[in-house]
Amino acid sequence: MLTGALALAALAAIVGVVLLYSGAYNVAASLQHSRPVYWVLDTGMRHSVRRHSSGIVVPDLTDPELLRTGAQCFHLTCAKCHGAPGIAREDIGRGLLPLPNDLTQTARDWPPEQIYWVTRHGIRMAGMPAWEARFSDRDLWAVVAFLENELPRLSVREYRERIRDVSEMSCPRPMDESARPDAARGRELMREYACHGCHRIPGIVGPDVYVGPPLEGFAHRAVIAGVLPNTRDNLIRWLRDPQSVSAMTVMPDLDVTAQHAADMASYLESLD
Amino acid sequence: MQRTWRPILNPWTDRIRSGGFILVLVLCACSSHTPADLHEASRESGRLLIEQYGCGTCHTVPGVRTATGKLAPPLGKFARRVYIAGSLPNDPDVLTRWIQHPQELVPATTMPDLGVSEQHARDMAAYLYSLR
Repeated sequence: MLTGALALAALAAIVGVVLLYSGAYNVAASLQHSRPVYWVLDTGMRHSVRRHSSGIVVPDLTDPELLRTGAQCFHLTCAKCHGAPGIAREDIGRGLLPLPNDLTQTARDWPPEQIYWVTRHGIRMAGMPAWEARFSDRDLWAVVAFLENELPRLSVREYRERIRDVSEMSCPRPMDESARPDAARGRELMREYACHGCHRIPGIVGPDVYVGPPLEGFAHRAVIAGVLPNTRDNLIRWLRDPQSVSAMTVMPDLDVTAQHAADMASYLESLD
Repeated sequence: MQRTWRPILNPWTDRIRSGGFILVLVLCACSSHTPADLHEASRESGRLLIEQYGCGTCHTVPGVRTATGKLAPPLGKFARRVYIAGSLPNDPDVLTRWIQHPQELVPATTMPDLGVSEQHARDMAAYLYSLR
């Protein structure tokens, strides 16, 4: 019996490896998921969100100011991929697989703590980003408040009314707290700012990429970008405004906040 | 321009091609100086030059015993680097010039001008491009 189970497991492992390396599985997003695969992904996602969001305490979501902020953040960020009443998803939102939910449906079906959790943490392999580095906690809840208490009940005309001043709208970003720089948080932030899209970074799993230099041993580097002495203040300046340090650099300005730069600098200084 | 390097698109294609390359070497073993031999010699010379010029004081360079410096970026997988000095497209001519006269390309760089001849710079580039 045990031998049979072991043989079956070994066979499954071999089939898996052959499938993996043969390239037989088509990763094209132009082909839809089969119904069973879609069911597995969706069911797994729903149960995972339910479990991980349990215990989150939902604040008061009826404050008009909160709803106003939520409408702005929703329109400026969420609607691009998810669409809005009478407004189509933009190209990226249409091309993702699985397709981003229409949030009027989600708002009716999902409890607020689950919407908050997904907005904050994102969903792996689904194109949903984690917004926690870009939105303050208050703004995350503002989006949830708008979804839960307004969006599904708005007519197209009323939605347009909410976003009439779109050119003057902004979605606020996290306030710079003056928390002590934290290396562990810095490591997570390096992922959220997509630093590992160009650099190999110890402690971060990501693509095998050499657009920028690998950051191993950064604590020992004498200079940043080949030109600036490697001190904490210089590193923060480099992270926040690289092109002011070196006009030719391909390192882009990522709109890094002061607190986030300090956290990331702290992580870089820990790379032995 | 002598094309000593090209981006890797598919590692398997590369392996198959280098297999063919070895075959060609075997078939040509009768003549003593094929371009491939010279290329190999250039790489080996480059490795020794990297050691002699002391690049390893600042850079870690795989395959060079004494090159374990950590003051500047590590040079492993250099053939896969998209840019030199964070700004210049990584290309053999640019790299050769960078090794010879870094400050002509990036005035503020702390990389020193070590008075490297063009031939030496080309050999060092050949070695760096063997690091995949």
